[in-house]
Amino acid sequence: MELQQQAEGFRNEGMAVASLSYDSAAILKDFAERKKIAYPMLSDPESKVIKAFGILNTNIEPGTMAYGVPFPGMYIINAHGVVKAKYFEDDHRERYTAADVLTREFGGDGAAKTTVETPHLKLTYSASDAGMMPGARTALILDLELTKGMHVYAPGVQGDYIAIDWKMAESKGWLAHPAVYPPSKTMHLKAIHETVPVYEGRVRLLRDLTIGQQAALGPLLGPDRSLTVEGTFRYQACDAKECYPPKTIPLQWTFHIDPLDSQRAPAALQHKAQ
Amino acid sequence: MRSLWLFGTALALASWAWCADDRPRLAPVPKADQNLTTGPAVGARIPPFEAVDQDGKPRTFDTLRGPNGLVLLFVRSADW
Repeated sequence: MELQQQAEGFRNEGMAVASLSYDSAAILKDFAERKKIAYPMLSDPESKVIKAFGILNTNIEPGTMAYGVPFPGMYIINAHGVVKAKYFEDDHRERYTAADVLTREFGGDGAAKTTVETPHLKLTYSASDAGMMPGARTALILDLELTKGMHVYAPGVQGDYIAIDWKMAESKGWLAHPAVYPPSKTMHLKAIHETVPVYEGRVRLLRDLTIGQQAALGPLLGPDRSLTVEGTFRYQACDAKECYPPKTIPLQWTFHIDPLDSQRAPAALQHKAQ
Repeated sequence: MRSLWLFGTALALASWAWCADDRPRLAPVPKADQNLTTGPAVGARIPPFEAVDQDGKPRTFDTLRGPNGLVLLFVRSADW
């Protein structure tokens, strides 16, 4: 469903999208009509393709209704049939959203941007998804645009320099994965004969956020099932002449959390224990 | 010397164990998800396949892909 919303983003990159499951074509037809899905949904009722890929869930007993399902995941395959990237979670209740994958693979832009400007930089932050289900894994995006002549220090800088630092509040309702900092430039400070890792110009930082399950989310959800996630971005900016006092910018994302979909196919089409 | 070697081995084992499960988690991995396999490695070719789509039309990688490739999502079920 969410893939349908992102299908155009992938198509713009020359990528077609398709899904595959162990459902009958009739179940898929019903689902595609209910959810208005236009991309091909492949039916693999004997799990032949799932087995050929080597991702049959072997924890499930043969003869039970769920036997034949794969470990869920997403492959990014190039035009020659070679795997370029893959996204699997070791907890089936957690899923990378298609928008997260689109952002990570092709640098897609986030939804609902917030911009903060200081004399040293412009910070625009967003997330790949605005609405998600419990267990979704989305990308948080921080785009920095440093004022001309300004630099900030990259993580790993030695000595008294203050590196940029992106922190996320901790909660039982979500899990913030480590931030991914891009490669830095090396700056040579002639006056003191030091080289330091810095960022200048435009810099994008990414980090994934996994949304918790309904039970943990319940008490945190606001009206209309909104979830607010907070963090901070700290930096110290310097130019050729001086360094300015460190600043901390508060960050706040608001997501809409959709309830899990529990609607099944019509009774006549449903999977049955064999 | 021997105790130093033992200590080093213990340290290596401890850090290996830490690396093996260093990912912070929201909840323990459910039993149904153990022994996760993720199929063809990055850089490897996918196996040839054929399957019908929701309209009953047979599809292969070549009839599905776009000019730059295919995003192929494996899901558990569209039923339950």
